[in-house]
Amino acid sequence: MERSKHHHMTDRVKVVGKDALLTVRLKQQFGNFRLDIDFQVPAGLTVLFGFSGAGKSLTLRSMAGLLHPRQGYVAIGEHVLFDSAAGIDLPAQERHVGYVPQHYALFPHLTVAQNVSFALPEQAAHRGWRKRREERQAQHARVDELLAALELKGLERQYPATLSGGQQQRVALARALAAQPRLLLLDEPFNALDIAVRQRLRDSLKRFQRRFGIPIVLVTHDHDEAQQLADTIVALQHGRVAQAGSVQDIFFTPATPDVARLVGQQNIFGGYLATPADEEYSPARALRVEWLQSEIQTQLAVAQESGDDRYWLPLPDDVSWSASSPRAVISGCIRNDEVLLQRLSGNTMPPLWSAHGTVRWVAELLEAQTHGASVRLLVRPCRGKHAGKEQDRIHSVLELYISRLRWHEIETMPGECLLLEIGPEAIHRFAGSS
Amino acid sequence: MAGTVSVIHMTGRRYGSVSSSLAVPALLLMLYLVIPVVYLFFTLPWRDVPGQLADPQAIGALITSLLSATLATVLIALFGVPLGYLLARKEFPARGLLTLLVYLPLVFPPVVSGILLLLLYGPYGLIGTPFASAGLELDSSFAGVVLAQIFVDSPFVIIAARSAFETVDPALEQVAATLGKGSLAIFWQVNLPVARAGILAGLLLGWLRALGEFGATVVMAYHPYTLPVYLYVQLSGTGVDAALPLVLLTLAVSFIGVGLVLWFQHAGRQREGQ
Repeated sequence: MERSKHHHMTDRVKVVGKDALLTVRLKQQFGNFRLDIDFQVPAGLTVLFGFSGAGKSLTLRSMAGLLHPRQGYVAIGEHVLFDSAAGIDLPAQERHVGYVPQHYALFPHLTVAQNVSFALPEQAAHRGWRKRREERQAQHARVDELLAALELKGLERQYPATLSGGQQQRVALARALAAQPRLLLLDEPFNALDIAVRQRLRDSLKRFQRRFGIPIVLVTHDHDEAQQLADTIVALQHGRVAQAGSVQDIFFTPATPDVARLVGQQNIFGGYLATPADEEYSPARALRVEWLQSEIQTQLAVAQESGDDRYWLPLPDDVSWSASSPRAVISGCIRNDEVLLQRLSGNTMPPLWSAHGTVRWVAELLEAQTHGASVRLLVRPCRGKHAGKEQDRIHSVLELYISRLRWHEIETMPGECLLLEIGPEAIHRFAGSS
Repeated sequence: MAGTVSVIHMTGRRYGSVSSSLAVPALLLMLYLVIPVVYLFFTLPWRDVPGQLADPQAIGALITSLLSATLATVLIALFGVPLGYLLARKEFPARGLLTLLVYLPLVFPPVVSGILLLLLYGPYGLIGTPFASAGLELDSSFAGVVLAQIFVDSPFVIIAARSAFETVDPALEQVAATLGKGSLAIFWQVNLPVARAGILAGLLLGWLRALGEFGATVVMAYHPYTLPVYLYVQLSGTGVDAALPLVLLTLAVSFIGVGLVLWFQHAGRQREGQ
């Protein structure tokens, strides 16, 4: 009896194989907020990514069994935690899912060692003292191993209040792991930490995940965090899954305007297929821009009045356009780090199209800010070289990033005009648009 | 540089003037509270103090007070702490009404509480009659003293326990649940120890209040004398001077008790590490 129970405990560690899938489907109305989640991802490090209020924490807590949605299905590999159709809804105690909330929720009245051994079962009094001592020693060894693995040696007797944020985080991880969970849920685990140490601790979390091979679901709204950690990103928006995929998928080919904004692609446009006026190098078909929209300036601007022909975008190569009906609105984004910038020299306007399939826009520089190794520019497309009359401008602003080196070559003052060269690789069309 | 200095100077002065204008009323009230106690030390007939404190009736009253207050506090803890937890954490119908009822004895004049208790537990009361016929008097007995103290003081403990439980971060309970602990284990291993300092301070305050309880006790159980009742008897029978040594004794006990309360609260804050 004792032996079988013991085996059951140790079995739990390795239940989730490398190729196991994490399936989450949840449906629940929370007041005015509707949660309707549906994703299935490989059980690696999954990042639930979204703005605050997207439903990330609700999803996490529903997976932990702390909330009980009316409808849904949650499973890790073959372990079903919740299946409303089959009437299965394991309580949090039986899910074997580790949960680390935002501020770690360490037990303030317990030392580091006591926090970590909190989950360990107490020895039943009816067993022989020898048996109990053996078990106690085994438990002690386990706690010791965890403390060593998470670099908490020497802190065993300290209380949480005396620890740094990073140490607290590691204690919370050790405590969750001590219960031998099948899955680890981390709610914004780096939020409570100083920005300076976040990057280093993210690296160590990644190492930790590889070492213990435990599936992790992590909630964040931070770009860097998502890119640095995720095997799979599940982008949430308004309580729904907007897109799920690799870091590359989400950040390079966002499926919707919402996801584009979430990953920092602010230059969103709408337009339709048309044939530009016959000029040198003009393509047979291109995108005629109807509107440009950016979160930077909230007003939604009409890019051009009818008859104006200056705002065109080249067609990206990788998409088949034949199916698109003419006049159907196509939406996408201009990738903020794929636009070439040049000084506008002389008084002559360069031709609209270039030999290598790029289109040229003139834009007034509004602001330039250092942003890590790059420079963030806000530019406003305009018609002529001298930004002149108000009606000649469009009111939308593009956000562009260029390297610092390039910025020093261009050296333009705010108020002056730049030449933007936009090639097909800078254009991303949202999958959802016709 | 000069600008910085003058800014510091200005803010320093502003803080100074604000606190000094607050200090006047604060100090006046402090004096009002402290002077009577200090004055006692000058007027006390010190030569009589040992003799009067050695009076067996005074010692008996002190023992009755200590025992009854302690028993009442233990009983309040056993029943009041769970009630405080339920009020803090659980949603149930009529929670608001229950909270109101719990608060009521707090605002009753103690004499009213005593009358209410006497009606029920007195020799002709619904509960008192069967006990009295079995030879167990619930009024005018040690039991009566304890009943009076519980009625008057449990609101303090319930409120203290409730607010102590309310400050426990629900995330602690959630984590404990995901670590496999059932709700009873969570209560014993998380809620209770984390709220401990607040609850202990509440219990200690309750014990002190029970020690000083007069209004309800004097109605419900004139005998056996508790310290406050005996004090009143001495005061009305012999005069102020005869009561003074007992006053000193009461003050000493209170002083130690309040010191302990403050120490508990300080220790609790210390651990949470502000």
